Amino acid sequence: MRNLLAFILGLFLVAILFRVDFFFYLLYFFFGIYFLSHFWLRRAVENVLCERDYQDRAFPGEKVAVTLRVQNRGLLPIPWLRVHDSVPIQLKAPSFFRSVTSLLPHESLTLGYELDCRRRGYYHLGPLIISSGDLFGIRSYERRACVSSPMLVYPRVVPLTSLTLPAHSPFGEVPTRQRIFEDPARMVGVREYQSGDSLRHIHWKTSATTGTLQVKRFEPAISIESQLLLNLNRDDYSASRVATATELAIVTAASIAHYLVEKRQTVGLICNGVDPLIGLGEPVVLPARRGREHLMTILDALARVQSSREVMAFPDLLRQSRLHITWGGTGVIISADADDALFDGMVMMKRAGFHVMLILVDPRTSYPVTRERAKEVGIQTHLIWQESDLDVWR
Amino acid sequence: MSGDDGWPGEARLEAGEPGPSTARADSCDSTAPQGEVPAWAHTAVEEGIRPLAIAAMFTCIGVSISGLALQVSPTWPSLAFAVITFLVSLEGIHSRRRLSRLRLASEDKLRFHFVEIVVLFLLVRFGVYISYGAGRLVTDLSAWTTNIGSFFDATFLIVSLFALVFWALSGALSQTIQEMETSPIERTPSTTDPGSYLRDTMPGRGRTDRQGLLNRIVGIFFWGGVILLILSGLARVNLREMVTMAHGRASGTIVNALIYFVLGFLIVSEAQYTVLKANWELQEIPLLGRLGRRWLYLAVGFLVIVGVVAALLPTGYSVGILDVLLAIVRWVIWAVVQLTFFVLFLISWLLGSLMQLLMGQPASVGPTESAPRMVAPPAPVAVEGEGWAWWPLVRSLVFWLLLTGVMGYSLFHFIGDRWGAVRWLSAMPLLAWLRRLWGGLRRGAGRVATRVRAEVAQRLAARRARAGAGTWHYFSLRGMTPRDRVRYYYLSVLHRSAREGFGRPPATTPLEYDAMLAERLPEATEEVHRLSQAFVEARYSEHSITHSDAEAAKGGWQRLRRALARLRRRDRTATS
Repeated sequence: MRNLLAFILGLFLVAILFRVDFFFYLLYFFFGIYFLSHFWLRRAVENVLCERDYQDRAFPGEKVAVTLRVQNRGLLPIPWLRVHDSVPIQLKAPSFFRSVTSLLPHESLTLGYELDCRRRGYYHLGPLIISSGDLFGIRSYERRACVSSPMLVYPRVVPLTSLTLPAHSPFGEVPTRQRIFEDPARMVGVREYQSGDSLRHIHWKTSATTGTLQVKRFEPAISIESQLLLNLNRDDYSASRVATATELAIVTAASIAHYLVEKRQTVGLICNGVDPLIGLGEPVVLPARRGREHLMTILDALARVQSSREVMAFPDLLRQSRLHITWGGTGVIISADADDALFDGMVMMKRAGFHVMLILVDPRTSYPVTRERAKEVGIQTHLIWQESDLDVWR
Repeated sequence: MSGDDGWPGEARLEAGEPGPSTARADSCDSTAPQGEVPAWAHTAVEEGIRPLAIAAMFTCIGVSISGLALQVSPTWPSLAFAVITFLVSLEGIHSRRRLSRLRLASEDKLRFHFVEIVVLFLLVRFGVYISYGAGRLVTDLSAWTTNIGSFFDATFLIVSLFALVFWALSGALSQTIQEMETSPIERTPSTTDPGSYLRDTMPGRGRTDRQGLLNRIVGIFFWGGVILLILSGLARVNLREMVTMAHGRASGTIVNALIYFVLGFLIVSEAQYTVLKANWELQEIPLLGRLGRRWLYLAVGFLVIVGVVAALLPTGYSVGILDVLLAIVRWVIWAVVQLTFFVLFLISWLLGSLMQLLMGQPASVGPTESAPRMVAPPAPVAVEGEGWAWWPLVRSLVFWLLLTGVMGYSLFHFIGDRWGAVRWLSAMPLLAWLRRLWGGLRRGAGRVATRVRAEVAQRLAARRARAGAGTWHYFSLRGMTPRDRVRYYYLSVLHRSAREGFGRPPATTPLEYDAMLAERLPEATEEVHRLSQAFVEARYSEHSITHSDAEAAKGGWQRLRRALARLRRRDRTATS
């Protein structure tokens, strides 16, 4: 209907020429259609409110329902409204949701689609774009109705049950055979008082009952404060396995963090990957804490983090990370391979009083050689070549 | 299949939906979009409504042709021509649809059309006798037997020519609309489908240029409209006078033009819907809600609203634009002069008063001359002898304003849309200044409106609050229960005593206040005790309060009122 204006101008000339009153009526009629189509459409589309509602965190394999609520808050009906929401291809194929509807005044419509969370990552849903047009094809109008909103898919967490980490901090939760570390918070019974026993450990109620002094017996325990040190420098991974191996490293880190938090231990994360919320070149540093809330923080970071070439070298990160680990704590190093620089860093950590555990996910040199070399300096080494290798700790 | 196959959810129409409040979004899971109209409705539109509308449109043009032809030849068979136009248009649509279904070879198509045209000529030949009558048919039949040449008279040839044009145009229009719908070849077939190769090798990959088809429909509609308007105009004016621009106004509704344009817009709207729907189907976008039905309702409603609004506007003028401008200028000058005189009068009056004060004597009064009377400028003389009248002037003013606005807006957008001249025009200093001025005025008006709205809302709320606080409620003691009446008597005494300056302190119990009140009213101590006791019973006891109890309390209340009144009079006397 681009010719409508030309027709209006022609009609004006015809009306002036013939001086027929009805032609002026037709002139108003045509102009009214043109003008109201513009006015109506713009007003109507600007009164459309769109909201996207969904659970913004999910674990791999979960299906997340996204609800789009489209509401016409105005008094003008909308003959057609096309809703287009962009979705990352990793979450939905095809990578969009589209629908066409019409909306009467104050009518609202609930649309929905489902995300298939197959891959870990930090995604953005949207933008949601609505477009509409008039009834005669005179004009169309498009606007961004809803901005992008984030969606986080956590890494896969493999439930571990028998992971053994070297650590010797007292007042912990993990029982140990080394009886020197008794935890006063973990009473296991009473015994008769012996000379030298602390008066603070006397169990007064039992002493009163039995008539002889009884002292409390405590369970020996250690605390494992661990720091996960994750290497996501792409240069350290082989080109053919970089995608698989980095994901495997992240899954391993997430599984160990989960295990430690379940054991009520403190755990932290230091990683040289790229967190989109932090920016390029800045490592991810989460100091060791305990509790499920902290676990979710670690999983959030592991969901977002990406491998890159423009990151801090891992040995440098090891040197810096010593500031974040308390004496006697354990550094769990998850890397592709262990070269000389990494060995140097690990030895320095050992000498500084830390315990070190090395997990390799993409060794390019012979793993037995690396294991023997690590054993010589007292470092536990594990090879995780595929996800099922984590089963040794299940 | 849509890309949203896995979505098991739903699309809910939550408010304002005249039908059921919940509608499943089955369109996401099925190939039949939910927004599609039912099959019977589709058939009704395809086979009935659309052909009738197209035929009616061309008949409207035919009526205009008849109107002009009647001026040239009074024997023109106008009724027959309208009927023939309608029938041949229907036939043109029907034959195109039938041919597209039969998929005939070229020779068979030619044969089909030949037969059709022969029948069409016969229809024209005998159809004109709807106007001429059976007697003329008998006469002509006998004439044809003697002279076959008389069969092909001028009327027959002209009507046949128009009939052929309408037959072809209606068929083309119908076919164009039909071509807009999606065809199976346009849907992307799988690579293993033989249709895939066919589609890939077709020009434009098998896609129909729907926008081009829509433009063609709009073109037919507009050109038909132009022809109709010119013919209608020519039929209403004297051509000789028109050449010299001396013709007068022609009023009245041209029904066929109105029908033509309304039907035309409805057909264009339907074509637009068909284009959009086809595009959505090809993009596999599900349609939700009753899109098709609503489209029709909205199109009709929109045209009715615009038509009604346009009907309310003035379509003619009795005062020329120059006379209107002249009248406006005169009135403006008159208003300015009035204002100037008023200001001068004020200044001179002030100066006179000042001089009177300074000189101490009245200003000398000279010979008074009668001041010249300011006569308001007359309304311009209405064209066509309507005399001095304000209504034609106002009507003409509105008409010219509307016409100027319509033309200005249309020209601005016409030029801007085509040659990107909006930017150029916007850069002009005058227009830029006007735009800034307009923007400033809008912002200012918006601010003022917001402030006024807030102020009005605040004042209304205050007024409501005042009204609510001071509302006088009528109540009847007879309508109260005995318990409530006793409470009322007691509270009434409290109110009156408070007015006299010895109201009940908030922390005082009724019995404590009983003593205080008795002290102030020693002549009514008994009544005070009785009323206080009655109130305590009515307020705190659970046993029933009888009418006699209430009457007893009423007696005490009346006596207390009198005692309080006496006390007030005493106080007033003492004060005075």
